Amino acid sequence: MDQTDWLKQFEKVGRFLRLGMEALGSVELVNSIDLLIAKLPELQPSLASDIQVLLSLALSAQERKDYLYVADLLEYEIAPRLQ
Amino acid sequence: MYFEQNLKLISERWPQLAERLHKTSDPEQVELVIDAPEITLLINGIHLSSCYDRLREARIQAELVPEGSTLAHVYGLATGDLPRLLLSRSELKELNVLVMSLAVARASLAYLDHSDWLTNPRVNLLMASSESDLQFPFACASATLSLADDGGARIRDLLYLELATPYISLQHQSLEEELRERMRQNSDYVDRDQSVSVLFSSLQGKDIYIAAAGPTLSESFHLLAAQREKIFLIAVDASVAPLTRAGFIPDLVISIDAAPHLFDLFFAEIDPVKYSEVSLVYFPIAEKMLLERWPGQRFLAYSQNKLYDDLVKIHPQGCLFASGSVLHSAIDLAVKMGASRIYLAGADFSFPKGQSHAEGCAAHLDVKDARLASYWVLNGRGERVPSCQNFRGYLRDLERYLALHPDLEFINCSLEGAKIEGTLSLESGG
Repeated sequence: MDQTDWLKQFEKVGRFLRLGMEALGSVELVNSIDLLIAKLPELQPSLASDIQVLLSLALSAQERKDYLYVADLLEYEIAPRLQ
Repeated sequence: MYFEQNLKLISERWPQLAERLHKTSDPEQVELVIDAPEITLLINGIHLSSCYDRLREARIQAELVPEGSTLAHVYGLATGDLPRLLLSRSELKELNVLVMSLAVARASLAYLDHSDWLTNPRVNLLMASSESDLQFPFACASATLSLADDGGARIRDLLYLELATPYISLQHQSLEEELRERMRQNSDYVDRDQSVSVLFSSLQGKDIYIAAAGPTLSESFHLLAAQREKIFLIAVDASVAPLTRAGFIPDLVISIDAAPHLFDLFFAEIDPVKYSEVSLVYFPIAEKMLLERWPGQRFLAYSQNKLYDDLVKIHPQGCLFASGSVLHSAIDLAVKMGASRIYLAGADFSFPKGQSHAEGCAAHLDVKDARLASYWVLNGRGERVPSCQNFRGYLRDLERYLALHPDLEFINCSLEGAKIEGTLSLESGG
């Protein structure tokens, strides 16, 4: 997956979550996280560590149903770092 | 702070709403997020909007309202971005903004300037709690789904249900081939069993007691015991074991589920002799073992699912309402059998007492994991009771169904489970 693909993937999740389509958003979020976790070993350790922190924030936000913040973290924090 | 300014504008146009906003308490936690690219509010741990690009987010949300619409409804005023954006459409003549939570609205009105759209003559500001159903076309400030108050809960659930429709369709598509194979396996039974329609109008004016499998099922067993001789008892599949253990044999059992191992799960303990006079109403996707081993008479039913379109043409049969829960079909059957009063026992759509099902049901779980019950509905006492997304959807679809039958009496036997609009409580109606 290149940068454009990551952004598209995260925008897809974000779009569902911003629309209130929680079920579809959650399915796509799980897919995204699976892809991201598989990607982590390929990244520079410091970058992987940053992304793990952000991912942890996103998962906490998801747990409290703060879905717009999940979308923000994916689209505006994690995606740019994968460039 | 903008509260006085915003409230003054509201009081000029919607004085009753202004009065309610004035009297409402603030949310437990409100924080103005200023250390992000865009200002927003964090209310009880939920961001009210994007804190990176609010306009882009509002554009996404506004996509649900088709271009050219002259009327639109916005659920949740949130930061005001969505009404503001929709009002930029010159063709829009009327915009109804519905408050999903008074406390959240109060916080937003306190911290953010809403005067531009509040003064727009095309805007109506309404309470979601005063609405009986969703209005279309709509857009939704989605954070308010997580923050809806008790009054907004019903509309919140209807929004979730509507917005989950694409997901539900995908789920159905993914199961379709498997279900068609199940129907092929059952074709011998489908061909020869009688239609459920022969049961229609057979209990005109009678009382029917429907045993669902919620945790409160046993609460009304005293009523059932006292009236068993004169009341017709319909059991949904999952309630058969708890009923049997309590000494009740139903008159009819209904099962619409395609779940594998359903017979072992719910019927393994039944005594074939005692059940030899008990009818089974089933859908063609039922587990074959259930049909093979059922000791009594079987009746075939369908729902309006397109899965059954071809079969209905070949074998015209009675159709029953189904929208995810077997309880829907059980109630529709009772209505079509002619009941004038229908008791709903264990129809909880929630996890009262921290339980998932009635004691004795094989699916019974202690719901201690908050993730399983991270949603809520109001119970018959007006208290929040843990629930899950599916239950809330089933509940709201049932309420829509009940609204079509105002001439019938539906009695909810428990105050501990979800309050079901369109039902009376046992105390008031039974």
